[in-house]
Amino acid sequence: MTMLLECKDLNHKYGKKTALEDISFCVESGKIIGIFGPNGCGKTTLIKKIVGLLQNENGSILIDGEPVGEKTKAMVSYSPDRPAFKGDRKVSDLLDFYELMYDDFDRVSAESAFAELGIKTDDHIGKMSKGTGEKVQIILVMSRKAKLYVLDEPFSGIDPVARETVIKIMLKNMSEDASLILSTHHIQETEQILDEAIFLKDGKLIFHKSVEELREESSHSLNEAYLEVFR
Amino acid sequence: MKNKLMKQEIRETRKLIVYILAYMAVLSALTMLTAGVAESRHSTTASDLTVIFMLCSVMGVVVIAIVMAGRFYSLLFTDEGLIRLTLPVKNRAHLQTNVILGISVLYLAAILLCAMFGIMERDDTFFGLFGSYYEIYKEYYSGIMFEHVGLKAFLTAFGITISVATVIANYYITFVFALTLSRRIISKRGIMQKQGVIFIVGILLFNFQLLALWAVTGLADRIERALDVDLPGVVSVESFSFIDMLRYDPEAYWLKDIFFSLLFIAVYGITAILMYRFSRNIMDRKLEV
Repeated sequence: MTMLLECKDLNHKYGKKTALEDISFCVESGKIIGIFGPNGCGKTTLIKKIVGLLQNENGSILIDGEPVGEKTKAMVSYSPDRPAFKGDRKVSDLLDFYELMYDDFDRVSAESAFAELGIKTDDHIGKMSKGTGEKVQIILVMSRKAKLYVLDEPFSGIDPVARETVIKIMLKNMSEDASLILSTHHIQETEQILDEAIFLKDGKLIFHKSVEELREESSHSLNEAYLEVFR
Repeated sequence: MKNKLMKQEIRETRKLIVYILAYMAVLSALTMLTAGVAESRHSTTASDLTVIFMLCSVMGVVVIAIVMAGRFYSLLFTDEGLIRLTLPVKNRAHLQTNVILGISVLYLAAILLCAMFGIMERDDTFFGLFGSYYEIYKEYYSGIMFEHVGLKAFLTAFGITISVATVIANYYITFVFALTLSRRIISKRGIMQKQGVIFIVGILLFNFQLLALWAVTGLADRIERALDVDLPGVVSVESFSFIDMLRYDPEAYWLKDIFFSLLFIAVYGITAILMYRFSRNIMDRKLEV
């Protein structure tokens, strides 16, 4: 296993409020990592730093040995915590956009995933429900052959049955040496697929352990461990 | 990758651009028609309609600037920015493509407008903007006009064309700079009233532009007085029809016109470059979405 992501001494402030404080962790290739914590603990801020949406003035982030920038953006496939595309776009427009912008985008795979979920490519994003919009976004992001997938709250508006299908599609599309970072509150549904878990509280890293190790130590499920830490 | 970004921008804006340019072309045709009727039949209604159509055509250029700058804002500084700013390009590439496309479309619209006003003022020999250039060359090379007048007239027309082009580019970059600067202020200060900040920054920057215009004209006047020369009035840059300049004596005016154009190009060009560089710096180093 090679080191894919290295975060060292990350700090971030919004005005006077500290959002991240001395966060350091590493992610090996081929791993699926869950980032957990209550609202406002810094999950989205950490993710935005990794994908380059927030400036990194303190600390360092290396993705496949490269500092965050043009090169790393080509390796990272990111889905934000809300449907980001404008409502006047059709699904086919987004397919064209991803196909043009990313050399590693697999249009056939995306179209077959849309068909599996009953999403028509001539549908407008604005006429879809929040959950369907999120499904479209996740499928587009996961249809790239990226080295690192970063999904921020990917299942917030998706119903439990569709969630299972989306997770299956996600895993099917990932190559063996790719890693996935997932920030979610749906711990029970994602526990089975996770290799490692990162717990954040008030911008600080509480721990970063393998899910197996966590279960052995506390004889709890990940969900129970979460409740124990944050209750 | 920048080419791909440009291709995507053109793909997304082509319909809009075609619609606006078609709107301007139709208005141009209507303006010429009503102007013709007004002149031949001395109709006041036709004359009023001509003015309304002309104003609507000019507004078309303003609408293009607002629409293109609005796209810059909505693609990068709203939720869609979360996707756009993670594309594998430097953030400045988004600025570059929008500015290049925005200014190009504005030039296209301005040429359409010039052609319209030029055609309206046609006479037996000249035919609008393009015709005037053609005539200048023809006169110059055939030697019909007395020596050098052709070149001087050409230099005058060329200088004013470039200064108008610089002003158009400057105004579009001011739009983009106002949006970028506002975004920086909003994210740094944690201000929620985004529209308010954009409005204030926009108003301040455009007032600064008026100040620059005042400075240019004042400077020209001071230099004229310092040199103790009494050159007749300057041709207005608002005069899009270059035939107007050929109707007066270019031999007497050309030096002042060129000097005035150079001042415009310098002041508006330099401020445009500075605003562009500031915007680029914010996009690359300070932008947080």
